[in-house]
Amino acid sequence: MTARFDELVHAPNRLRVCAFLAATTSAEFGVLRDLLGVADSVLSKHLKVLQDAGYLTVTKPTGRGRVKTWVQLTPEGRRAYLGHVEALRSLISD
Amino acid sequence: MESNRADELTIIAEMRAAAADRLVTPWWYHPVLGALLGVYLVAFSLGGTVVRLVALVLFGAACAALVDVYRRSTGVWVNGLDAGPAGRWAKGLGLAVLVLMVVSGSLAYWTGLVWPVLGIAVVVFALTVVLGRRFDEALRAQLRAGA
Repeated sequence: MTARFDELVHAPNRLRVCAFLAATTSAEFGVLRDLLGVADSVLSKHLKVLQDAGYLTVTKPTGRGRVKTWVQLTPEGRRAYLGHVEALRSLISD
Repeated sequence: MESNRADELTIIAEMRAAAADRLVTPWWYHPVLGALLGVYLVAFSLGGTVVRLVALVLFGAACAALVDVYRRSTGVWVNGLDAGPAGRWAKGLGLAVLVLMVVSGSLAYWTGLVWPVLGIAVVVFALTVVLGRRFDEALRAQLRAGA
């Protein structure tokens, strides 16, 4: 994994989102909102930034019951996040 | 500057721990999955072509429904085949079930006996419960191990 500091991932709330999503395959919007302790609109803005960069996908599966929104890192987003973590480790160890 | 970087690594560790806290599989999940695999193995071993095809479709639908219920109840999902080192338990379970299905199907074909198939189905159920729980434990430990 190439160490590369990523400004998009660096913002604290976006780092939280990426760290949680990297630890899972996908997570529900409400879970992320509760973890961050922010309003829906705030989380939506952060997700939009990451989505526009191609770092994550947002899906709303159709079906019975209340529709839930699911969020998942793309391979590119996972690479960017892992590269950012590697850069942090390098900076700490230097 | 360095303290900011350390803070970021702390945030990452906290999020990984939060994911581990969330990944508590409902107690019924592995028994239900084991029962589905056991029933499918019996249908695959003892049934004809039509029974096998119907069983495959029903098995696929039931597994999809089970995963959906899990996702809705926990709000997260981790694919066992994409779970890092902990995934070896899930892959091991998949391989074991595959081997047992071949053994069960061969036994039924060559001997026509029913009881070995039922015995293997019980083994598949038990393996699913045991290895499934080992996967959960390994995954949570892996996530808590740090950034």
